[in-house]
Amino acid sequence: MSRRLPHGGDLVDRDRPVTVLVDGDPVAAYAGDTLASALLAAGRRQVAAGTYTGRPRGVVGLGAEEPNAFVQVVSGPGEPMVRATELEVHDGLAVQRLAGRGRLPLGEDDTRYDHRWTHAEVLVVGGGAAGVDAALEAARDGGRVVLADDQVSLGGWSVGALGPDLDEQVARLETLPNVRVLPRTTVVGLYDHGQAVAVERRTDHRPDAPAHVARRRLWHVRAAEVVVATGAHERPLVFPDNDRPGVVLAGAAAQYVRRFGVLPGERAVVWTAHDGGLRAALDLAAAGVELVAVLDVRDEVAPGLAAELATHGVTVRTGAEVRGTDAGPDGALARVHVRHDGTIVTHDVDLLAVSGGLNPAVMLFSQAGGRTRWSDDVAGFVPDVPPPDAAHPVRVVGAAAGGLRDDELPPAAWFVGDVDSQEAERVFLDPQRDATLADLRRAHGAGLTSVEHVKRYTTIGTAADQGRGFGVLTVGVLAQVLARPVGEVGTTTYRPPYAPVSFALLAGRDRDALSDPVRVTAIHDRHVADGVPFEDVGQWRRPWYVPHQGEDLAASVRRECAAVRTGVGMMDASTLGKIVCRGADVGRFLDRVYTGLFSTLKVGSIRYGVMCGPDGMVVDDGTVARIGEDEWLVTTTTGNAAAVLDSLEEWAMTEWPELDVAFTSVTDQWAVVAVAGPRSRDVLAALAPDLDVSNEAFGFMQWRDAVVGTLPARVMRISFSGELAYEIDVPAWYGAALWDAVRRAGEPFGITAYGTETMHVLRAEKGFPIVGQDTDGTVTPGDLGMGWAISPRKVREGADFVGARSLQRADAVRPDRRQLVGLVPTDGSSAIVEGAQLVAAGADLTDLPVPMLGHVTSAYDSVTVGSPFALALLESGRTRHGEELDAVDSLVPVRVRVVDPVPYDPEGARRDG
Amino acid sequence: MMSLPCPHCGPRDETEFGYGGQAGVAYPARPGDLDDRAWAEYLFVRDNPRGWSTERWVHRAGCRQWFVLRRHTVTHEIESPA
Amino acid sequence: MTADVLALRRSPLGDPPLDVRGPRLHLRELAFRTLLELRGPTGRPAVGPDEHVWPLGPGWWLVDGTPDAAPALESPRAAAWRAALGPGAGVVDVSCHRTTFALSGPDALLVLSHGCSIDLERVPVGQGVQGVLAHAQVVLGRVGQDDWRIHPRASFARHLAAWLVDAAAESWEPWGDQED
Repeated sequence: MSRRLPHGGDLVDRDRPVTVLVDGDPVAAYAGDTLASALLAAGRRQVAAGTYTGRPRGVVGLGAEEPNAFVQVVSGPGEPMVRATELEVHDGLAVQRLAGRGRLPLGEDDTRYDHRWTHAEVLVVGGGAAGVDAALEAARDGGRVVLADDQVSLGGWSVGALGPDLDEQVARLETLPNVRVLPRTTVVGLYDHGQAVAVERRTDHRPDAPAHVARRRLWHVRAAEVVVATGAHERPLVFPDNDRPGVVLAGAAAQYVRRFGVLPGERAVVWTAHDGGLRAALDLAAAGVELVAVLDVRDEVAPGLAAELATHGVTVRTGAEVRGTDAGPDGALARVHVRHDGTIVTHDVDLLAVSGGLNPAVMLFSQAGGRTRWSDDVAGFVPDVPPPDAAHPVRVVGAAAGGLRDDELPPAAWFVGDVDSQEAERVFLDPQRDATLADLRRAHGAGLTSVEHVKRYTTIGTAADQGRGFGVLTVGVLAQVLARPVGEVGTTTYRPPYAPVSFALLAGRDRDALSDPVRVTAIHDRHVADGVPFEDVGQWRRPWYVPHQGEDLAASVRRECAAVRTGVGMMDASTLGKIVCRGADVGRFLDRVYTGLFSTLKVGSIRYGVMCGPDGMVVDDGTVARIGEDEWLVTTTTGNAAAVLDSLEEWAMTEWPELDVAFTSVTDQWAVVAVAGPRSRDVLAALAPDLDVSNEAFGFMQWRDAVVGTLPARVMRISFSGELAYEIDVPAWYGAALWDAVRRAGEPFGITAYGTETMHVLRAEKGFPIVGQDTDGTVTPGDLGMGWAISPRKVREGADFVGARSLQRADAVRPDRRQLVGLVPTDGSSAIVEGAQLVAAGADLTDLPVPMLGHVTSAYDSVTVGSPFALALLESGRTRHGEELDAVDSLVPVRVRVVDPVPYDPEGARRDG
Repeated sequence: MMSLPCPHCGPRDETEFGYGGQAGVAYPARPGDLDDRAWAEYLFVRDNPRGWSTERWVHRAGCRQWFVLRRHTVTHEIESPA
Repeated sequence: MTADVLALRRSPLGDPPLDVRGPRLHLRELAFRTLLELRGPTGRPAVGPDEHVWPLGPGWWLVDGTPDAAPALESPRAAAWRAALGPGAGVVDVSCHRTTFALSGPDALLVLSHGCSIDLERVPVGQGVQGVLAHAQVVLGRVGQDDWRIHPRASFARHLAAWLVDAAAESWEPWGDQED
């Protein structure tokens, strides 16, 4: 049975019929319909069922205040819970009606979603009369204005159909070059400093949109001023069995008639607490709805409205209320019980239009930090104290500010007729949560009086509609139960988002490879061509190991390690952080930020350095090369490059601005190939025939500029493996060429490419800690056995450096601090697990707590050591060499012996080849 | 997301900045002269006001300059210090 | 010899060169530009034609110059700037540390606004900013109303190129009403 009127409905285009599928059945509609208006037009009264009660539910509202009519969209990418009142129909749309909860569509959503940032002098939220007016005003001085409106077209719902003035204003607004109008855009959050986040639905209604067009967009708007013109949400009145299909908000019912040409019912009772409900009754009557009764809880109504209704043969019954309803065989409304003048009368109707007043939509104002107050004039909560940040004003205008029409009589603050109702289990305060007056009374009985507590106890107001319609009403009912003024009870806090936002939209284009930048070196393509597995080190992608055909990690690493220990290996070391320090005072500066002494470093030389925080704990290590009188190159660990630069700049800028120092990151400027192993000198000699590579001419911890192959290069003689080794730096454009040249020159020497895993094994065999792996911010240089890195001269002369004072604190010199040690399994074969806890040998692991003596920081299978080998931090570790302990992982103990952390070449004899 | 006024680059999103804690806590001129308690005070103890806080920020993703501003820790109102 | 060595250069993007054109947008890499960071000058240093200079911070500038003709450990232009600026100033060659993308066309600003929170509309022609684009730190310079230079760090260049190509999907293949 169609309930579409033969005429009317400015929002629908009767020349464009549309068919949608509801639970598989075709439903006829017009372009411009919402699914709700289409369902009402099709005479489908039940659109959902109660989540817990299963009771039939119908369309109640017009937009975001709708508590019942949620559907699961099953066409397109699908969406679990969408309000029928906000779902634009289009051919191909298919939905399923829901009983309370939707289901996340399974499978990948490959639809595009994107983000966009924009700035404005004024953001106007809401495109009704007040918003349009505010936008025109704001645009007058040429500033940028953004107007976001959640409807298809501007104009809003406010004063009935679009007046000619508003039409003209909208048209003017849309021609202004400094105004960006965003229809179908819901502002979901208003945050600090004029930041708003909004969801734009770009192609939901356009199934013909190609796949590369983003379906939705998340806007990040930064505005100097925000105007909230979000209007008001109509609230119902409550009574027993108030949840039946056919109980509709009166204003919404009138809008369905006027804007969509749809009759929500044929015989109606209208019940209201304010003039708006009476005007809605007039609209319904004018459209041909038979008004059986019009009730107003107030004792007096405006004579004008009463007279107009009288022309339709209707007398307004004041002081009347609805006491209950009955359903027909279809579960929808069939009868309404009305009490008037002390008697109960029953009417056969299919529509009960109720209106308890308007709730100004203060959510965004409230999110931004504005405070509301109860207004008896409006019978609602209205903006009171604006958000405190006067530099980013938030102004509320129109119905959202609680404005009434000049000719209106005050509404009544009327919520429920009988708070002690015997039928409280059927007086629904939150239909979506199936929460009732009985639940609220139980909360009160449990001693809860705060609206925030009652909300959480009862779940009222926590569903997707966030209590837009019923929330204030619940506050009113609670006030009645508590016998306190509504304003004292107050509202719950509004928090973003105003409307649900999908994770896919929040992610936007930050998906897959774009989710986090992947940093690659200039040699990356060579590694890809070699098919190496990569390891992620922060954002960097580094070769992990370089397997031959069929090799696994362990086999590959054994071969790579052997090559470096006995022949020569090559590795891409480009990711090390590099910072140029320039200025006359760099030496003095470095003396203050490193534990060692650098001002005495000669041009051409390199020194290892340890950096502590002011608390004396190791934060980084690396090398410092003096490139020129006033130019130095600091290297950092791969993961710490940014933090070290930050720290250097902070000390220089905030504590010692008198020093002439400046820093420039050059990490990406240089491609670096490490050539390590006893044959590395031969390889370098072959690559750079003009460079004297003898130990005498080019000693350990020196650097030389040279032509390597045909490339301009800087060669540093430093070692992270204990072997004779060089790092060859070239401008990164030549990185791949350098890799090729080293590989070619190394071929006669059997050069072997190696990755980060081998690098780690080689350094561990030398007891070189990795900051961030073997340290955790609680480790001093002394704990690492690196007291030698603290300049004795600085200590002798009492020179300060960052961390120096802390290293003298009693806690820093305790002999029982955790100290770096080596571990080997006593059986020579059991693997030791990184992260394992160290406990006394044979400790009873069931006798809790088990005293923990330390933990394993690095563990490898070491060919050089001849067994698994681990580094660990152990209480009093340096005095425990030779002791046996258990290293426990997942309750499995491995018996280990504490050994020196430098099992390989402790004399350092191999670094000169 | 706060918008912070970088004195050199103008207003930028908070994510471009690093927070440097309470302003005006200078590195002691002679740390060696401080006893353990006074040194610990410098290292670890900071005001934690509910209200106006004078604090250091660095425009890390921009000009990399450190600067001081006043921020209200409840309302996030921001003032550049006089 | 020089030419042979120059031929060994690879830009951070590798091959093939990035050069994508749509009806409203043109994105390409300008490889091997000479990029120098200057410290010291309080006023904007003067540069030649087809060169730009962007302010990075107080007394801190990025010069985007034409490519050098010969390979070098450090661009000879660094020494020239040192001589010109005098003692106390600093010059660091960052030609390989960053690269240069040119993004031009009526949709250039739109594409940037998909991943940059800075008010770029208010950046005048000839001015530049340092900030974050698509989770990567960049220097952005406006060389014309619809013509931008983007200087990402070299290790981020591929990420940024992929991001830009992706963000511009609706500019390569416009559909429906064109937006600004």
